[in-house]
Amino acid sequence: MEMCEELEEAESTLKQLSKQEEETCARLEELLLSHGDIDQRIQKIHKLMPSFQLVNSDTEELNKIVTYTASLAENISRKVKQLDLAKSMVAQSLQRVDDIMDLKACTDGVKTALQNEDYEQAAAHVHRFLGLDQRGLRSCVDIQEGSSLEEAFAQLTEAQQTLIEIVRQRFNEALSCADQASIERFFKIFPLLNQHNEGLTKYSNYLCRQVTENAVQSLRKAQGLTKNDKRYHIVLADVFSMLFEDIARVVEIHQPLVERYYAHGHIHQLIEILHKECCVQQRRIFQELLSMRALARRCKKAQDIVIKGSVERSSLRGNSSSGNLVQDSLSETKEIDAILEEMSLIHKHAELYLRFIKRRVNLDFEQSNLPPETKAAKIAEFESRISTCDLCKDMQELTSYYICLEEFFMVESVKKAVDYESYEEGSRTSSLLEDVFFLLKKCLRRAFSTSSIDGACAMLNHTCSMIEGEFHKASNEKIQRGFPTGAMMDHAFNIIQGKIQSHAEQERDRGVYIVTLNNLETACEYINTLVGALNAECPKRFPGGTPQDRAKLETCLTNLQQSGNKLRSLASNGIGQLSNSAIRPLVKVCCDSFHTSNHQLTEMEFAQFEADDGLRPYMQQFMMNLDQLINTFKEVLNPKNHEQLVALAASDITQLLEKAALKAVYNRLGGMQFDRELRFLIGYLTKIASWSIRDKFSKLTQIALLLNVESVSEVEDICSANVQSHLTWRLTPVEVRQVLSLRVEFKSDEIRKLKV
Amino acid sequence: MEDYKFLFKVVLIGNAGVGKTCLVRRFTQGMFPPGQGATIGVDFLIKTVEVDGDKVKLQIWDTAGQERFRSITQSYYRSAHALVLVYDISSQPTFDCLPDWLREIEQYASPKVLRAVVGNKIDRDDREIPTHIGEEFARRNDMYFIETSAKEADNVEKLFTEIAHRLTQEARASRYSTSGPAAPDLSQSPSKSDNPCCKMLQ
Ligand SMILES: Nc1nc2c(ncn2[C@@H]2O[C@H](COP(=O)(O)OP(=O)(O)O)[C@@H](O)[C@H]2O)c(=O)[nH]1
Ligand SMILES: [Mg+2]
Repeated sequence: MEMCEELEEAESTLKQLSKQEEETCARLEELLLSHGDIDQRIQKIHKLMPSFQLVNSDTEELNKIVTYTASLAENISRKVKQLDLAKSMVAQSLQRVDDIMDLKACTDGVKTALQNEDYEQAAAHVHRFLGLDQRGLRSCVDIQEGSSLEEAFAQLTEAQQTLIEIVRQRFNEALSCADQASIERFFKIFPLLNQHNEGLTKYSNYLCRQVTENAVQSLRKAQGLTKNDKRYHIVLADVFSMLFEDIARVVEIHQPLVERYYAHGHIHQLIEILHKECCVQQRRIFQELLSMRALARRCKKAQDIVIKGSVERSSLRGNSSSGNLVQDSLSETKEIDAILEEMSLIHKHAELYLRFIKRRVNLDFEQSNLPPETKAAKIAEFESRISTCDLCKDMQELTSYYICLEEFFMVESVKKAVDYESYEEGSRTSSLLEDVFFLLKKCLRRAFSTSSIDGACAMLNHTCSMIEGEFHKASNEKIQRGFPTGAMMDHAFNIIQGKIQSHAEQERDRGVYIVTLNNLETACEYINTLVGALNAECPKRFPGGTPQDRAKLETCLTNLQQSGNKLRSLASNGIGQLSNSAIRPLVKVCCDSFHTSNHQLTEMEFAQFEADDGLRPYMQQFMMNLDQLINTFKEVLNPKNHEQLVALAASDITQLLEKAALKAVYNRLGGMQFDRELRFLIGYLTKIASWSIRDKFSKLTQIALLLNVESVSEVEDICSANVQSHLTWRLTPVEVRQVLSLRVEFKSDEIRKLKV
Repeated sequence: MEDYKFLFKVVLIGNAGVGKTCLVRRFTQGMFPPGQGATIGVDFLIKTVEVDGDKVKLQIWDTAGQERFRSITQSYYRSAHALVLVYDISSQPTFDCLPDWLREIEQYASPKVLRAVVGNKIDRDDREIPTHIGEEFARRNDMYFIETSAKEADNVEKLFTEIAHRLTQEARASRYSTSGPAAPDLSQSPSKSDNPCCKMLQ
């Protein structure tokens, strides 16, 4: 068994081996076949071998070239840098060479120029030298050359000193003999030598001498003037003006010169020196003004009179002073008027002058090369110096005198206007109104023309006091005297037609009363107009005002405008009185008649009244009287006053008629009659009033409506209709019942049951 | 239009240098002005305060003390509701001038004007006027009295508040309150232009 198994094994192994052998043979054959191919390849490789060696050496070569190029580039860039440096050094050297050559030229030139007395040329050399970079030069020359450089420096510095000495001396000489050409010649040289200050100061002082001379002369001339001379009254304003204009002219002429040779930022020196002289000279003129116009004395007197006047005025009036005194004070006010004109001119001129120099200095600083902060600081410094100068102080003192005298002038003139009040034919107002407002306008215009904001404000305040004081008082006195009635209807206000003397005192007073009302009302209008005109003037008069100044002025103007309120309320009181004394009696008469009348009319009676506009006789009479009275007042009162009077009359009528109506008893026809009359009255008043009068009568109309109903039940319809039409029902339920109870036909329990 | 119930004019007077401007600045702007120049003429500032719920506008007029501004200053007295008379507690002369100032007030101001005396600069240690002297002066002349320091903001607020308070009470009592004056109607021109005066004004 075993054997068998072995055999089988051996057989399979053999099979395997022979199979392997076959495979191996096939492979060997394959290998043998490819041998030739391999041989070929090997041969090819052998052929390529030298080329590989070539590539390798080429690569090495390339590497070398790149490295070389890089180092070359680096080298070049370094060279370029060196070149640049060299170039700038060359430029600097050239500059130094230039400078040195200039220096040489300057050193030589300054000598020759000085010898030839060509100071402009010499100064130009020195100026060039001063502009050189001396330290730079010293640093670039060697020691040997250095000594010659220092020598040149020394020479030039010495030349500069010499030149300054010469120019100073020659300039002084020129100044002292007023050799205009030389003055200008040397004036221009100072800035070249860096001596701006000295040049400007000396030149300005020289210019001042002319200003001084002119001022002294013109003042002397003014002092020699006699009272008859045409310009005597404003001669000092002329002298002030000449001084200011003189300075302005000097600035005008010399500013271009200073700007050109001294540059911007220097003009303030010239102006400040001129201004200092201006202060000295104007003080002399101001002193002359004080004494020539006796300002202190006049002011003292004026103050005493104004203060005393406000205390004793009322007791003094009537027992008037002697004619001499009146004449005296008249000529005094005239004189003061003239002085005020002169003072306002002076202040205006001064203000103009101050604005001029401030503007010039500001502009000059603005155009300079100074840094902005320095500019602002310098401008502020200049302005603060100016604001505390003698000219400003003296002008403040002048303003003080001005206000004092202007107030006096105003108060005195108004007093006169009050004392000499006259009533002109055909005029609804009196001379007082026109005179007072003519004066106020004159004084305020003058105050505004001074260009002093504080002066203008002060006069606005005084005007306010005057309107609320003297003018109000004068008007109030007349209103308080009342409106006399009696015999009035026959000769209504003949005074307006100019028959003052021929009529009774009473009538005169009536006319005065009416005119006063008109005066007051028109005064309010004038105040508004005046304030409007002054407001419009502000920008022109006070161009340099700060916002604070404007606020101040506006407040004072507003106060003046409000002074009209006090006049208006006085006028209203007066019209109330007028209505009370002239119209109310008529209404009363009418209501009394109404009260005593029978209101239970028969058909016949009712029909009979129809013929006369539906009015009963007393009603007819009333309407006629009322119409006549209202027309008379319309002729003499201002439209606004008249309107107010009609309104008051209407109120009176409703008030009194309502009372009367509620006291009577009516039948239906009586109610209808009342309704008819009321409609007529309302129709009339509506025609003469420019506004709706119906509102005032709504309660009365509703009473008439109720008195007019056919039955009590109709009332409920009326009430609901009214609710729908949104009419305001003025009567309370109690009143409705009260009115209905006046109807004789209606039963009281019916009225009680009524729902309202 | 700003709304305020009452408008009052308050005028400060007294010698130059006593601190009027500083008091007003301290009150209206809350600061102590560093080295400003002397006041020229009159300065004008406004501050609205509240009194018991009502807005009260104070128009404050700060005047210059020197003689040459006197006639400008005086023109404000008449319409003033309150006059505040200031002196410097470290300067006898400013106190000695008070009677002169009082005389001016009596001459020019309304008799109804509220008057106050203020001793300023109490922060200084070189006091010359003891408090009771100032108080005595005020009492004798029937004036409100207070001592202040504009520098240290001492009593400044109190001074003006007290004035506003008193004036408001007075106004309420006498009901001369015009609840905010009407704005000026500048557009309104007179209807009759044939009037001679109007013509001149146009
Ligand atoms: N120590 C101190 N100095 C003050 C006070 N108030 C004002 N001053 C100083 O007093 C000087 C005059 O002040 P100012 O308000 O211009 O006085 P005015 O002329 O009355 O307006 C200035 O130098 C202020 O600094 C204060 O309360 N205390
Ligand atoms: Mg001040």
